[in-house]
Amino acid sequence: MFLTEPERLQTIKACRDCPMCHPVDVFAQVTGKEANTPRGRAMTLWGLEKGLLSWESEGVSDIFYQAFLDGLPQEWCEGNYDFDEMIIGARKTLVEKGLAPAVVSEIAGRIREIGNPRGISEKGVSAIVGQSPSTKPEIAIFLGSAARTERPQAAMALAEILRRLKIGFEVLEEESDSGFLSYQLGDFQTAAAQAKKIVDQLKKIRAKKLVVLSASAYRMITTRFARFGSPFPEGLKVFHAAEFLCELLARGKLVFRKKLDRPVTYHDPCCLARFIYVLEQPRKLLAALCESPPVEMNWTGKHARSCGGCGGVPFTYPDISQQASRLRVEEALKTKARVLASADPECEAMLSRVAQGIEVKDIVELVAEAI
Amino acid sequence: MTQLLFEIIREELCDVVGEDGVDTSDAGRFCYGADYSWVSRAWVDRGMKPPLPDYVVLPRSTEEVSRVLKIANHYKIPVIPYAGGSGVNGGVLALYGGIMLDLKRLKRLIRIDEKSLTVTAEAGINGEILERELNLKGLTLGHYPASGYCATLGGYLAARGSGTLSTKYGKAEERVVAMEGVLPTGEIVRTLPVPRHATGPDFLNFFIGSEGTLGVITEVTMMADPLPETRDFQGFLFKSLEDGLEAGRKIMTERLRPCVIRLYDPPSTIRFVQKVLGIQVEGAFMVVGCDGKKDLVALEMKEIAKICKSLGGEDQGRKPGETWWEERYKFYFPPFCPDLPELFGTMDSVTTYDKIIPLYEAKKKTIEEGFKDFGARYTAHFSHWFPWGTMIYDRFFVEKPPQDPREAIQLHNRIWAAAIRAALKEGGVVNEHHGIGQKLGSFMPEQLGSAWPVLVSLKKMLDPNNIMNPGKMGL
Repeated sequence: MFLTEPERLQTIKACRDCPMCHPVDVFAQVTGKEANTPRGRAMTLWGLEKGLLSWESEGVSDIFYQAFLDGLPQEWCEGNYDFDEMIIGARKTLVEKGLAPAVVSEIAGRIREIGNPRGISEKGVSAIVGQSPSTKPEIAIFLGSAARTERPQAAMALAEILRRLKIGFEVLEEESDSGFLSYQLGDFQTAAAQAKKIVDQLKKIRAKKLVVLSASAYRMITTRFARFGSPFPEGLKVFHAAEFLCELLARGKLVFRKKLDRPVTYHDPCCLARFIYVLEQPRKLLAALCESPPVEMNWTGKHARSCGGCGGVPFTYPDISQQASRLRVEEALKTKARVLASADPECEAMLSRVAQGIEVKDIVELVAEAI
Repeated sequence: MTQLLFEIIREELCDVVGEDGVDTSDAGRFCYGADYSWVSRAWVDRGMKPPLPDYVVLPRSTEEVSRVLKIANHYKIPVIPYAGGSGVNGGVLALYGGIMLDLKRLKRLIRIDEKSLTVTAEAGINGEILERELNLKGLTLGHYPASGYCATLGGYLAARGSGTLSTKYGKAEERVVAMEGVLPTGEIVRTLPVPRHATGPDFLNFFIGSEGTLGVITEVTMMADPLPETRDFQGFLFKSLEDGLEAGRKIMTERLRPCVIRLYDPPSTIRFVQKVLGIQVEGAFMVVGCDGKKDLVALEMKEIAKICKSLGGEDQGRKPGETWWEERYKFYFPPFCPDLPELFGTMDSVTTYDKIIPLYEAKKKTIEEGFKDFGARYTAHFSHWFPWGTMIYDRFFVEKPPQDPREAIQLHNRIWAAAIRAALKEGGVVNEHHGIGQKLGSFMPEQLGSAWPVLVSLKKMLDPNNIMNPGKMGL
């Protein structure tokens, strides 16, 4: 549990009565059910505390897995209650009691066996990114599960940029899932095992900088590995790809030879926007590489809505996940943009499944196009 | 209800809204066990079993609402229209079980008419979401209630809500152009396409303020306003509440058009303005603001400042007012809002200017002297001003209420009842903008007097099986 018991009880008490974050809970926006609001979930937890419900009661497990855990309710909340951790704690209890949906243990099995939760056999990171321009790596790169499987475009683009800029890179001997999904699903055992596995790999790299393409892996490595007992090696500096590229831009190392002439809007990945506050760097990159500044969506920045990819929902409730993606794409279309940019292959995988009339691209891909 | 009947009704409801639109799970129903009312919250807080619906039903269209009501009529089971769940008077508690008709799937924004400045949407659309959509077009609904993040368009009207800028933009009910609703027996009715006419009685009022007892609001057309060119605020500090009230009265009766006048009595200046906004003042603090065209706003603000200063109002500058506006919702988030275990209630009323001070004094005395043994405290602010009078948004607080839930609720009822009787005696009303719900229903006969049987007859005629939100509004 990442909340102390007093913190957990305080959060339950604050959320069980409060409906103020209704508009930002995307799951509730899709289903319309009170049970899918933060208040509904906290009310259920209070019912469990008081013995008015039991963990085995009909619907209890569903309620806790029907949540995106995208950090938006907490960001919206003036009281800053850590709603997500409260729910992850409930999921952990359900996992321990054997009451979690079957897919949670199926995901653990897939991660153990093939290294990603999707069950897609991988061809390996080296095959995706190709050769480093130098045998002396300045950076190591970590792609994340989505870029290793269904959405490799950003990974390929990043490698291409590095080759063009003659920045030597290396990859992990055996990159595996970051464990972020397992953590969000309440499967702390798998999350801790994955953290250890990756840290063991990170200890073997020569570079002192790690550039992470996946927003969730970035959050997991920088803010959760230590809490799962496996802090990343001392002396290693970890960057998200957008931060890294933005720094290259500031140093004058990244120069754009042509400007993107299609109007762009930017979708903030939850993990970057709310947990680590990487908000400016992607926008600076876009401002530099686009002819006109990116158009903001209605819900943007710290209050950007989820792409539908958080909280394990694509695995537990794929239909709801897809409806959430559609909501986000509809918002993007309202801006009249022709490109929906993001900074996380997971988000891009989600959005591109439903995007019509708008192209979904990672910022890294746009940078590669422009240099 | 027998298990067999329960299953029969469930199947019929699923036929209308689909399996996905009916939730009978223990946990799914439990989430509707309390609304934002103190009594329902305290009841669950103390581990008492809350009143639960038998079914949660989520329709996606007016036709589906109609069919659900026909089923409910056939089996004579209660229907409680529900959406944001932000009501503070127990208006959506399933006191007799039945169907919790959650309208949050009725959320389509149907049309923004940029020529006439109207917006038409389904009743379950969330207030904040609707407002943001209007803002994209350079418009505003002009309705900014404290519950705006959670309440829905239908709820605004069912409970006759007010927004923080109602002094200019009017209460929610004043912004309605037209409406569609479903009568208890399932007939779908539409009001006239415009709100002002000479075409007989106004059917809008079947639904406005009916709190789900006379039918279900399903679609609404509201007025919109252009986003103002500017919105300016100014803070004033008065030595006494009376001076502040007189300043407000003068502003309104000289027919200036502030969008907000928010006057705090000295105790609420300390409790809310100091503690939540961090503005270190003592006395009667007033935020006043105007919005619209720059030149007009500047002129009106100048006239307002003149009035305030003539009554001893110390100019606090723009900052306090701007801070209040920027953080106006903060008061309603935990831990900044009144919260359990404290016992509290909001007893807002409204009256004409000539009666407002006696009304305030009578309620204050009733609570602080009448319930002295319980350490009851009283705060008030005046935040919705009319050409003829003002509302009083007052609350009572008991820091350490009895532990036993029955005793606590009994005390809550006693305090509130005493305050309402004091308000009625001084020319006030039972409620101004939170509605009646279950909590205040018993005062309706007293409030309406000889008109009460008329309302009861109307209810009987429209809802012969008394299925619509029974136990609310005294019906």
